Amino acid sequence: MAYPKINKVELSDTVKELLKSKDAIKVLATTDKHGEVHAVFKGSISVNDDGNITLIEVLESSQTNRNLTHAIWFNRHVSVLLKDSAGNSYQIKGIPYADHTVGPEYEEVYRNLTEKNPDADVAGYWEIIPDEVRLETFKERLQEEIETLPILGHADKDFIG
Amino acid sequence: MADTAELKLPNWRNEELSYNEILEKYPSVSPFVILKADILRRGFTLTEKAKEHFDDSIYINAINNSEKDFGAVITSESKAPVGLLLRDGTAIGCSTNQNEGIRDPYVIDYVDDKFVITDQGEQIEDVDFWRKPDYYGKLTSKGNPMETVLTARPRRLDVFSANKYCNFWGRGEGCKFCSLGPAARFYRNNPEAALADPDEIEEAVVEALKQKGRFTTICTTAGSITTGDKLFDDEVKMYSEIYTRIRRHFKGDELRFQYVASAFDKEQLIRLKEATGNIAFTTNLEVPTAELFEWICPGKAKDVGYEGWKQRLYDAVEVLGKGNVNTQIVAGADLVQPNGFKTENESVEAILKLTEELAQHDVGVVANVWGVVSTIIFKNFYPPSLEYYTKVFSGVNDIQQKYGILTYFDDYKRCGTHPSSDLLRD
Repeated sequence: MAYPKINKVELSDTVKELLKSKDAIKVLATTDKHGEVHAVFKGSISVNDDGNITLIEVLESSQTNRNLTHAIWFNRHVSVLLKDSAGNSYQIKGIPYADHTVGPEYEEVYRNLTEKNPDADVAGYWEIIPDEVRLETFKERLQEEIETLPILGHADKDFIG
Repeated sequence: MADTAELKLPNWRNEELSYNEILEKYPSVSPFVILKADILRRGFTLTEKAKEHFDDSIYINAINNSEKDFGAVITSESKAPVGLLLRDGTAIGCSTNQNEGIRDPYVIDYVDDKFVITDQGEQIEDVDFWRKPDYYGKLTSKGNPMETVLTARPRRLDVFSANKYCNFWGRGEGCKFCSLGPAARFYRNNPEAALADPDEIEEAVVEALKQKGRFTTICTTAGSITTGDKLFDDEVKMYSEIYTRIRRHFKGDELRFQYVASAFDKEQLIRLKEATGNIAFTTNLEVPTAELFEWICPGKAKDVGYEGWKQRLYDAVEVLGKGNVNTQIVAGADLVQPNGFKTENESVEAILKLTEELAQHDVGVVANVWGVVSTIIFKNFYPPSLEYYTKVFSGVNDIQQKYGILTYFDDYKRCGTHPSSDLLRD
């Protein structure tokens, strides 16, 4: 059934700020219908008042737009990667909820974009419901693995000679 | 009085696979497009609560839409959307009376501050309606509401009343599935009155496009005009007058607005292209065999013929280019008895065979769900099963993709009538 069964997670204020930040590095990873992965920098990634991730796709025929379509059709996950200037990084997984292509919100996005770049277009204003957030900062992830799965490390790390 | 279908199928739920069963059986076909096909097939109705929340200052109300003049959207409901919009952007152009009562319609309810599509109490999907554009309610210089000459889909402008009369219908040879042609009876004695004023269309288009971000394209269609120095010349003249006016408001040498017209010959297409710059052309074969064409579309068959119609499609590709020419099949009308296919599978095979043949000539095919209302000749028949439509739409799309015939002017965003071309985006 198409109706999305998503266990939405609430994003922390820190993650929301990072999603809104113009300085953060933002990457969107999707997969196509054959499972091939596709990742792009996507500066338009942000968050709306409902706590859902939003992004603007400017090209109707892009692989990203096709993959987002495939994801909304078949309830497949996409992944958003965020990194701030201090090196803190997060991965948010979610499922597209809507491809807004009409309506006041869409038209506002369209007007704002085309005022800056008259040649640009807005193929879709996508909304993604997050269902998993992972802190991906290296230091944090390393500590987590050392604590939860110490068997995975090399023996020489604890070797005292 | 509403135009509704007369036939009822009381046991259809026991005889056909359900929406959920189709999703399980065809897991690679978009659930949204399958749902669209089923809504087109079964129709929909609104609960009282949904009607209360249907705000016709925001949404287009069928009762106010000019398409009713051309027979497509006639309803007795005071509040009736002209179309639905799904989460993925899929548009469903469907009035509440389409195929009404043949099978149980879907029910649109208002739950937790949103509209939802339900079936037997189960929530199937969220849904929105087609929004009213800014130009609705404004008047042309002749004092007519602009929506009477130019109607709006979610992302497309439609000039569907360019000519409300069809010469084929006028001489008793209209297409038997058609719900638009019967309106011709109002104009039989005065066909000139059926023609829209190109100046008013121009005014409405200019006003509509002031709403930034709303419209991607324009589509024009009309009843066939067989008169002129040669067959269809007066129809060519009509489109030429409309698009030469529209053209002067756009930069560039070419327009990619669509005209859904009669089968013009090569000379007419060249003439039209030079006059208007417009290159997106649709002319409909309607059914998958010559024998059915003669029975179901007698006027077209007599004046042009099935093979002649196909040849004109091939010629159109030469003039306008691959990806700019397609034809529509009214899937299901070819199953009407006594002359139609005896089984759904025979129809599917014939449609896909024709699609492949046309694809070899770079002609695109789109297929739709046949809508039955009481004014059509085939009023005592019904559209086939959801499984049939799933096979047709996915099969047609597969062939289009295989041959690279990407008629984007008829895709989900620009047209939205044909589930087969809605699948083009994956």
